[in-house]
Amino acid sequence: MNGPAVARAVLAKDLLLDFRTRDRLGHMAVFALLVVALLSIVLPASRIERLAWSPALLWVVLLFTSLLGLARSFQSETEGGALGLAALGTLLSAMSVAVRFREFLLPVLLFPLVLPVLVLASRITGEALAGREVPGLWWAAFALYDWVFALIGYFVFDYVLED
Amino acid sequence: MSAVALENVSKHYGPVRALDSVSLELERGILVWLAGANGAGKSTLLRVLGSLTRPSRGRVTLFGVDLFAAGGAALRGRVGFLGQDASLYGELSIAENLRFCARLRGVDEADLHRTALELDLGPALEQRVHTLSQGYRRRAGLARALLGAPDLLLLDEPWNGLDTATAERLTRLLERMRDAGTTVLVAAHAASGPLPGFDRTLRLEGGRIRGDGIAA
Repeated sequence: MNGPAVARAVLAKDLLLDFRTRDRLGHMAVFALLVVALLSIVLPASRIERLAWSPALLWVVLLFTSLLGLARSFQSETEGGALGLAALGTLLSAMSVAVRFREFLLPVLLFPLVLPVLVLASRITGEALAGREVPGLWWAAFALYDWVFALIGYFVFDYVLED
Repeated sequence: MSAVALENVSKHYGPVRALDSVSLELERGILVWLAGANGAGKSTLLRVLGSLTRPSRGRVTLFGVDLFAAGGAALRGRVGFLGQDASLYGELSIAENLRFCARLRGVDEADLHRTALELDLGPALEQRVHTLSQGYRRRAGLARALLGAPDLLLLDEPWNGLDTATAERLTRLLERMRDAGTTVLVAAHAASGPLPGFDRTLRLEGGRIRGDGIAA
């Protein structure tokens, strides 16, 4: 079976699994909503300041919400989320799945590595919200980050899955 | 050319030697019982042959191809593996699990249903795995391993959780696969003497082969 056909089979299986475990997605959505609700209370009242904070907070909420699912995702092999987080998150959750303290290890490994994508995503979102054009170099850096970790994952996955 | 050849294969987990300089050859179309107490190295040997774990030392060859060298990955489609747990998605039905594996292996629906029928999975085929009894889960795991008539079949304690009738049915099935040319390696610690119908018995102890008996 060729690569694209395998990818299609895995995608179909993952979507079905995600649908069957949709209660977990519900928990993640409730968590995200709670954080957003809390932030809307504690953030400064001025619209300008809120707009300045929003992109960074949006992506931090996304990161923490995705962490809720990532630690378990590899146990049932369901990956999801934005591509930048998914490529790295899938690799790291596979690495940490056999470790006793995986709930602790995964964020410790993930946070430093995901920092560039977090900064870039916040900047791009900020520019987009302000109605300004996003520099092409930022998109290129984003794409490069995704490709690097997707490629690393592709080449080291067999080793990661072995004992 | 032998189906399986191991040359001085060792596997260490830190200070623990799960396999210690194991060398053996298995021909095609043979039913082999891998015997030994708990911790003897049976499961590790099967995991090495199933390319689920890389040996610390030594060379593993399946059908003349080095399993852990370039090109070895292509052998995985010729190997059926059942570990100590059934490795199925609990939220999917048996049919959905088997259909997914069949797609990965390029096996058609007819073969899938034939395999399910041979293990009497019919009544439970559409039920989700996490709702099933241990016996049905075991049978579903066996069906997954048998899909596509693999050339090498590796089974770790396959009779665990099976009722007597299904266990006997499985033994007959393994004999038929052996007769059709499949090399079948079964790890089981229970019996004291050679299992009936098996051609060869390998006894593992402390990660080494301490006995190698060929049935008369």
